[in-house]
Amino acid sequence: MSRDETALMPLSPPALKRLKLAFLLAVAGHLPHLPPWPTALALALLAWRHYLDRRKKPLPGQGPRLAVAIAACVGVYLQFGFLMGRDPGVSALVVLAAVKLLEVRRSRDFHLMGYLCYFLTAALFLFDQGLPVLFFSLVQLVAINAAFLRLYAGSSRETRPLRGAAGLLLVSIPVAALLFILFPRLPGPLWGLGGSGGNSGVSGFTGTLEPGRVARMVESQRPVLRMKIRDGSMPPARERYFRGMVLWLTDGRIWYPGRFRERIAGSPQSGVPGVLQEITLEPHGKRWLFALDHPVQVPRGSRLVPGQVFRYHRGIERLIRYFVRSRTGGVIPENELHPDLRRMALQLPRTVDPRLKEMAEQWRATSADAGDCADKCLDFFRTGGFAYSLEPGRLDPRDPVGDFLLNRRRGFCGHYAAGFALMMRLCGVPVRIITGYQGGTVNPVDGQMVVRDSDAHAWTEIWRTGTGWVRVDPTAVVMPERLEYGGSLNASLEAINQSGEERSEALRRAMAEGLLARTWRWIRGYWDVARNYWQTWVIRYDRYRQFSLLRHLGARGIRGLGLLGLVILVLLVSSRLARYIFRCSRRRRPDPLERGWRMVEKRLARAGMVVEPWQGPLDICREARHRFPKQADQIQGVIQAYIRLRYGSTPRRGAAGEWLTQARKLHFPRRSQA
Amino acid sequence: MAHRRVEVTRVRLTGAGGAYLMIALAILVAAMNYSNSMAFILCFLMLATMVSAAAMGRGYVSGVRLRGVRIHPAFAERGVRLTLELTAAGGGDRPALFASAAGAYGWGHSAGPVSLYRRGVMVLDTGIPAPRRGSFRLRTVRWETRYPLGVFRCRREVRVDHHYLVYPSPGGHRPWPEPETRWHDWTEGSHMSGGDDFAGLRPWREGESPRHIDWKSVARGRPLNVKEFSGGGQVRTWFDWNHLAGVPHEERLSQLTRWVLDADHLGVEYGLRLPGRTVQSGSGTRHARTCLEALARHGEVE
Repeated sequence: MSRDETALMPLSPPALKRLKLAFLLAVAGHLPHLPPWPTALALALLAWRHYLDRRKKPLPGQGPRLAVAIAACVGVYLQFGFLMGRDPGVSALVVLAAVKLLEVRRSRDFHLMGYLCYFLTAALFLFDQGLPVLFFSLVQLVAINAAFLRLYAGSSRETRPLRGAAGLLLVSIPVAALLFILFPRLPGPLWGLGGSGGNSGVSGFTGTLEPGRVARMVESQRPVLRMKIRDGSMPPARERYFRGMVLWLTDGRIWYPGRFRERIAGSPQSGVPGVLQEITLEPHGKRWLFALDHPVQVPRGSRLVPGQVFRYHRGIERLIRYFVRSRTGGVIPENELHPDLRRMALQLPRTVDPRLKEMAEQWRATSADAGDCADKCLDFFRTGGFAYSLEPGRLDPRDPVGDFLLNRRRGFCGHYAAGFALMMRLCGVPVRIITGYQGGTVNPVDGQMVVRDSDAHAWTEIWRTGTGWVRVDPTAVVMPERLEYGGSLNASLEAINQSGEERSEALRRAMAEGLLARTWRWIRGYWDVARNYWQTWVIRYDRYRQFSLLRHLGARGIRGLGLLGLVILVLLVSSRLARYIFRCSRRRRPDPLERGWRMVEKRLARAGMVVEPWQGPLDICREARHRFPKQADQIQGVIQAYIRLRYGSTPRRGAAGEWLTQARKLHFPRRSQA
Repeated sequence: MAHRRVEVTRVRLTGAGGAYLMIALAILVAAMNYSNSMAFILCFLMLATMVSAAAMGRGYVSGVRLRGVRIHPAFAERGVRLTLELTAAGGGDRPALFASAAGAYGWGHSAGPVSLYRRGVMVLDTGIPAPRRGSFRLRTVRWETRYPLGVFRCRREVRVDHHYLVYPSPGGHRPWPEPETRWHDWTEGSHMSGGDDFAGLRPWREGESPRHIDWKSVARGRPLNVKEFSGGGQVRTWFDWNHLAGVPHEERLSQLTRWVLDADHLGVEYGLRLPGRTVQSGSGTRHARTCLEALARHGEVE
């Protein structure tokens, strides 16, 4: 046997260039979510390697490489405090792969490097599983495979590795899709999920309210949840409050949920009519779920907690879908307020500005009940020079709410909710802050309601004896349009900063859509739908979906090993089918030279001269001249021309065609005559 | 051997392919653990690409035809040089092929890479081991490629049946036998042996006067040669098996081969006598080949 190594390809500069390109893409994919220095270092090492190659300088020795590798590991340790886990792991992988690139000399290193690039692509999905990432990773795969194609095409410059790699991928996609559908999914993880960093879901919604800290609202347009009404009618925009959390306690700066003893459970009300919603929630890593205000029947796997909100049994790390029934209207009828809850709903920060206390005292003295008190406070907001602003700036950190109410008087929903709640508690009215979303837009493409990050909202509920909890949204007083337009109005900053009638007019103008905006909305609508399908059918594709899909396809009851068998069958069948696909390229129409030569051979055979496969044109020429002496000169001419065209230097254009016409004139006498 | 197919394509996973598979499986395990659908997709794409790559490579080598084999004259212990002519059926591209052949003593080295492009014919040289003289048959020619990804080695083996000869390895430094007709007395001290015309060079034999040695060419790194001057008259030498009595069998053949080569080089007339075969005296390339063939085939059962 010949030694295997002889067939290894020598490393060619064009192949190396393609490898570097593939690595560049692999690192670029990690730019958005890794700390900047590992990616920057990797790119710098890549640039170094490229420089050395261009100048034909020797590669660095083991010493410098080891030094960089160790420094990188130390750097990762200093940055993250540990080496295990997603972010430090991927950071280290990026840098170490770049160090490896510095020592790529043989095809073995080349392979290792290419495989590291596959790994880097896979690592991308730990951070993001969106559609754009899929497209990007496909580009990456093509780039990596093109590098291999370039390597294995040898020194010739005539191959088109990109085309080849794209073709390979194209042929592979249907097989991969089948495997994806059929491969058996496990009910749970193989081992405990490593800490994915906890921030796998990013949301504008944090769970606590800190009016002073946030200087500016986040204007992310990322969808947070989608809602479809399954039973009942879609409430109007101003009634679309999505309840998420209830904040009971405050220390003056932060509002937070607080803890409950288990016995004060929420009270699910069954049998009441309401709106049944199907909600698809993006992962946010925490346990809260959202539903239209207020949920009365909660989905399985979650429970109701005081404040008529519900929580999932574990952190939501993946997209989930649930059905929930809600009653709208803004009033939660309850007869009695539990003493613990009352205490919490009246809790005050340790220090409160005496001026506020004085103001509240005055309101209380002149009010008949809780509702009156609330009206007084809202009047204060309406007439006290308060304005809605997305950029209120930072407030006095010692007493942000006091600063807001007495001095600044500019803010967004969080400020108004916190200010209102504080004043109510000073008046002795039990009050709690609700956070969630308000508004949402209907996607014109599939009719689903989409709620985005920018729709995040905070409002309050006060306790009215005999009625229950009543929703009061103080933001609506200073900015009534907020309820109409939802978070999308936050985009029209200029309009917001005006006041009164002018503002309404400006907002109406801003919200009335031009052609461009409408087009954009449609594009975004389609994109959202594609995203939604992607999320539902690909990202969330699990064993249940698999079973139901197979059931639809009529393959009920195939699971586990059966599926694995199908997977193997797919691989076997596809490898057979792929042979035919790649055989097609052999059936390409041969060039004129080949056609003509075959014709000559066929005519010779018909005339009785058998051409053996190992006979070259010269042998054939000699024998044919001998056999057909009458045509000796003609044979000589045709075959000599063939040899010249086939083996000689590059012929001029059209020479082959001329030769073919000449060859066609070559006829041999039939066997009987010969 | 008898029941083997004439042409067969084999696909084998390479070491790099094993590593590729391990990477894909590692990604699969991670995908299962984290229920990460995108990682599933990547893994399945890698596996499917592997399947297509195998088919692609198989298609590439299957689409190559062996157009011709030229076997160059060879001496034992040196290896036989082969020229293979490959063509791409249908004129497609066949990048980076390696080819090798197997004769009586196994596979020769793998030559390449060569690439076949639209013009479709590629010639490459390879060799097969030839430790012994004799007449043999070239059994198999094969070509392989790791295109496109290096994860598979796709190999096509074609059975051929070409006859080839391996001449005995030239060796031994025994003096030439006496020429049949008048031959100059080499051992004498005469300055211009035999005449005035310089006729060529001939290897130096032990016992000859060093004066005739062509020292100039020795200085250029050539072996010791003796200047020969022809004084006219036909010279004919018989290289006879029986002259070498007492020398082992193969060594005799080696010595005779050496003599034949030397004589051919000098252009003198010579004949060869072997037990059961006599090559009449003559000169020229064809004659030399006849002699060498007789030496190669010596003792062969016809």
